[in-house]
Amino acid sequence: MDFNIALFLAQDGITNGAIYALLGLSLVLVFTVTRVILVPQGEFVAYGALTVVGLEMGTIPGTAWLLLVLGAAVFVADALRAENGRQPRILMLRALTDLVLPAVLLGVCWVVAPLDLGVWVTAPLAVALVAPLGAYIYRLAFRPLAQSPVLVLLIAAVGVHLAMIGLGLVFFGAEGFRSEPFTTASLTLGPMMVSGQSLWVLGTTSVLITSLWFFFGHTITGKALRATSVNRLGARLVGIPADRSGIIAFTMAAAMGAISGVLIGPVTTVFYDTGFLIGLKGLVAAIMGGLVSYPIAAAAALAVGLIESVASFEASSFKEVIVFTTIIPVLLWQSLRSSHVEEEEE
Amino acid sequence: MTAPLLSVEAVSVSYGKIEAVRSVSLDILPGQIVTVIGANGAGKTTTLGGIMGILPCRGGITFQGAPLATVPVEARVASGMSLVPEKRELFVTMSVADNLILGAYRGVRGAALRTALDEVYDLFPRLRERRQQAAGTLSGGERQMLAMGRALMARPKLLMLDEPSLGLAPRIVMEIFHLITRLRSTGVSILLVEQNARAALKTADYAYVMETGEVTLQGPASELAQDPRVIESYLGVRGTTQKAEETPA
Amino acid sequence: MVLRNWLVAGLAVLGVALPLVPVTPDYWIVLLNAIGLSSLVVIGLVLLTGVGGMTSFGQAAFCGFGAYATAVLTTSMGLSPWLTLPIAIAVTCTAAALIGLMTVRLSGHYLPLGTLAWGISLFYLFGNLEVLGRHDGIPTVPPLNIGGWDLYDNRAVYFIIWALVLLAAFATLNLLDSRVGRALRALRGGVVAAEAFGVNTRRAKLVIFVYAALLAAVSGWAFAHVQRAVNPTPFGLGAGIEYLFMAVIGGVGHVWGAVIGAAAVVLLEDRLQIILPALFGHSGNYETIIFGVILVLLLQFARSGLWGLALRFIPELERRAPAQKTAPTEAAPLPRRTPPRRGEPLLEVQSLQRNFGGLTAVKSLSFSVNAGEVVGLIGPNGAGKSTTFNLISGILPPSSGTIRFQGRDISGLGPRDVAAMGMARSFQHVKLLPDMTVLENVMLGAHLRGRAGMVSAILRRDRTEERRLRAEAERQLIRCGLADYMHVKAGALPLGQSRVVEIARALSLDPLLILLDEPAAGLRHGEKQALATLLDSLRDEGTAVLLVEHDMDFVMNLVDRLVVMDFGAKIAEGSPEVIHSDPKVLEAYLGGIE
Repeated sequence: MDFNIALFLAQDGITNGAIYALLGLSLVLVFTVTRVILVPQGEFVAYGALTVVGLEMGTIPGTAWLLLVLGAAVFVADALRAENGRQPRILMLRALTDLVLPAVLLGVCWVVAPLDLGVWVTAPLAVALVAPLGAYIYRLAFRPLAQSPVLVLLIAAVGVHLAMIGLGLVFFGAEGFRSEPFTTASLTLGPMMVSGQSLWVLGTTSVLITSLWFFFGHTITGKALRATSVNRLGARLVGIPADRSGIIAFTMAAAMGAISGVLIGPVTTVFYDTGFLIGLKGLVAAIMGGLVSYPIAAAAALAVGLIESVASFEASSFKEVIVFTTIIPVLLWQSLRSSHVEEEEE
Repeated sequence: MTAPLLSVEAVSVSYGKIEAVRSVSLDILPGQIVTVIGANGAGKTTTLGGIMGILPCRGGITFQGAPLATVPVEARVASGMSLVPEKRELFVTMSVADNLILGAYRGVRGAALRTALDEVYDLFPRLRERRQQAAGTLSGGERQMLAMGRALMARPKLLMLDEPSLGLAPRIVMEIFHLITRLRSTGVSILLVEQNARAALKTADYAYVMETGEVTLQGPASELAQDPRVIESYLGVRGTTQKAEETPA
Repeated sequence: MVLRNWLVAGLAVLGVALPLVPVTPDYWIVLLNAIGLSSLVVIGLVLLTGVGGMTSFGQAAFCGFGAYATAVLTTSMGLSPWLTLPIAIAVTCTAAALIGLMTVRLSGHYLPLGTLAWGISLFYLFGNLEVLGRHDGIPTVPPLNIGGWDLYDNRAVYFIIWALVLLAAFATLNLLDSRVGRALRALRGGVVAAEAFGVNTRRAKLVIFVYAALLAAVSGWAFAHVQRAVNPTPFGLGAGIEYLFMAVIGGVGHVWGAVIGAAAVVLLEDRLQIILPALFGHSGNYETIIFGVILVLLLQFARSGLWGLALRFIPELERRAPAQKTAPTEAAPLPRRTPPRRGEPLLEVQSLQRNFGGLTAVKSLSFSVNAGEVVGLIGPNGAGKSTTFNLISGILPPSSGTIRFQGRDISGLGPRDVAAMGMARSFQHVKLLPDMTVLENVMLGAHLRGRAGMVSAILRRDRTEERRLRAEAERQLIRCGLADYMHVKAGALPLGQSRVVEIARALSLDPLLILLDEPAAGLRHGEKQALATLLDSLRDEGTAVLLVEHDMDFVMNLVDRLVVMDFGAKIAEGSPEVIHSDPKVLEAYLGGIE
């Protein structure tokens, strides 16, 4: 491997690593707040990328319809459960978030899709379509299981993954697509040519990670989310609704998944099931951070990206084997650290 | 007679098939300190869990005249109930100041939040010194102070304290009990669950004794402190000591 | 019982007759074979997940090991499938043992994530190895044969597959109802208690991990010869998830639930693949969506699965021990330890210290317990009494200091070794297994007094020893006044009685020293007196007792000596009379409020 190839692999690895970092961070966020290991995180990536493609082709993407259906389902389910009563005020509020919002977004798609307004409209619209899916999925699938053990939540997450991947095939078909790039420009740095799209990926992830840092460190909502993840009972005792924390965490995770999808859409051919492997690599990074540490997860994500890009050069057919096997020693180390006999969570 | 602030009527709490608390009734009047004493495993903490809505329970609980049956924990906090749990349940990786600020999650913001913070810092000057420190690095007594301070940030009408003296050195226990008396003078009603029966009975206006999940005795605290049954079982070694002292006489 | 017998007989007749009747469509037999092959894997998964509490998404990969092993050996070396079966099993079990050594140590949710990772890894490995034919696989695997006859017919293979399923089911049921089985059933939520009675839980986990892989290997082996071709797809993560799905649908704790779950999923998938494209056109993979939704709904509304639902409506389906009193089991008593002479030092604790972070929970603590002595350890809440118990019984390692038992240094030994030396304990927070009967819980206490292993359990050659263990447990329960509760599920007992069951369990170990953590808490007055009588009789037999207790009357009248702790350190020691009047003790209890 000569120096130029090494540089190229590093660029590729860092770009992918940045995406894994975003996904890893969202997985840590969701897990610490709700104890759900978000296996379907990758589906948000595929949904994001393919929604952009759908809009570019001038069609109303399936995700817009899914949003409408899930919103209605959540509205009905919540009204039936009636935990906080069926007061008109609460029903009105819920109708706004669960019925009106999807309808408005669907309307926007209907207007915008045929106009071919380019990536600056389609990309944000795709994120806006996918992000609320996170909240709906949390309320439908996971909130009723909130008191369950992590393992039950994990199996439920796999169920959601199955359903989403099946729906992905229905919405987007079995073909793979690339979306239009944000920019076709590229930059020459010494011997290295850096593509504009890579810079977009790095820039966006940096901005996102910085704003996450600000959100968790300096806003009361962010602090409340952290509090929920540190001590669930303590959070309830100061009046932080576990529910709302879950909704926020899932919405953020879905949004970050969608943003990742929008960013990689132009550089990778995305199939309906591409997201799963990408999401799992984010999961590998999150696990390296013990599912609790944001900085370690981010660093690990870069490492996963680099390992992957080197592996794909040196032993391309064993790329996945290598990436997913690196997790085993990490897991082992994680559990050796707390090795003494402890009662496991039931 | 004034209407009770909190009224608990025939409340039972079960863990699976095991009924840990059976048909407990108690009242707290505005401005009162009420204590529940009893041995380990008598069901005191469980009762608090039921009142706060952490544990599912049967029976009637009303706060300020409104029934709480379907009210979730968060809304109980918003309506003026605060629980300082036995295990403190602090946000250990976050700073003392952040812990306190989150205590006001359901309450004030902005300038009023700063005033509330200052009031708590005045009550517990040690917390002000350590405000940038992570809560997990505090000593046992400081943790108890932080837990109480965090609860007070919500400006509760009813403060429920679960074993505030647990694991604390005698001097700090004394401080905490003085503080409880001082808080009452600001109009907060207090429900105090304690194993340290002597200290609790000295501080409280009214007391209940729990045994294997049921209330077995109740009355004004000063009277219960003289009750031979209480002395025998709950004033611990002191009770038996008195007997020992009486023998030679 | 009658209903159950009729059902079993009916199913047996139907099962044998179906393939023999020529009018049965061949397609039914194909489906039944698929159900059988899946059942094998899912039975293993039930043991792994439902019993052992270890969720695995990777079972399909183990099928792959079995299938590829036989495919390679029969095609390239021309071996008979019956010869490759043991080899396929050996290969898979070796791989499982290696993977298990790495992953079984993982705690909680890390384990399923680990299985997710190697499940994917192995799939890509199968698909990229030249010797395994890469993504195309191995196309020409020979069929099974009997006496030179090649079994191309699905109806013939049917009998082989279902014989294997029944074999696996009964072996698993036998295993669960045995000494090893009780240890396995303790893995889920009872690790600390099991270790305290000598169960090597880590090895037990590895054992079921390998056992489940073995069943998967057999399934994979049969699959290769039924399909007569092997490629990576059926051994990928998707299939692994589907097996778990079957286990959850069937009811993850029951062996027969595995078969029902497999049947439900295979049949549902088959129907859906016909119905859905007719409704929605051919472009989608609709059954995946429906499976996903069903999985989530099942977890929300019927977590005990189809078998659990069936039991709720027809409880007679389950074979159950009689609820009322039975005649005591007749068996030769188990051998006992020779007790040390009364008054000899049994437990010597010297300058024991334990720090948690910056906090010192136990501070330079020294005391001793002699044979035949009852010693009380008292002190206010948070004084470090329970930590001291955990240090002595090996659950926590001390930061410094020594603990000697019968003169041997045991500081740093784990709970298993400490138990083996004759020390038994009860827990402050009762650690019984709620789904096991009281008798089974107490039999777990006698774990170290039996030797029967997995193989003799499966072959039922452990029955004599089982009767002896059972008789011992019954004896201890009668002695503790719990004769009426023997066959009740431990989870149904009130707290006070549960504590007494813990004492009976500890006594089944035949201990020289018994540590009791608040045995009287939650007991009524009469029960406390009975407990005091029991402890008195233990003292008379020469068993030493160390107990933590808050009820002063109870302690004062019972113990020979008291050790008083406050803030982790010993503040007084002596006879109850001396302790009564010790000013330091008064100060500790009164908290200085005067």
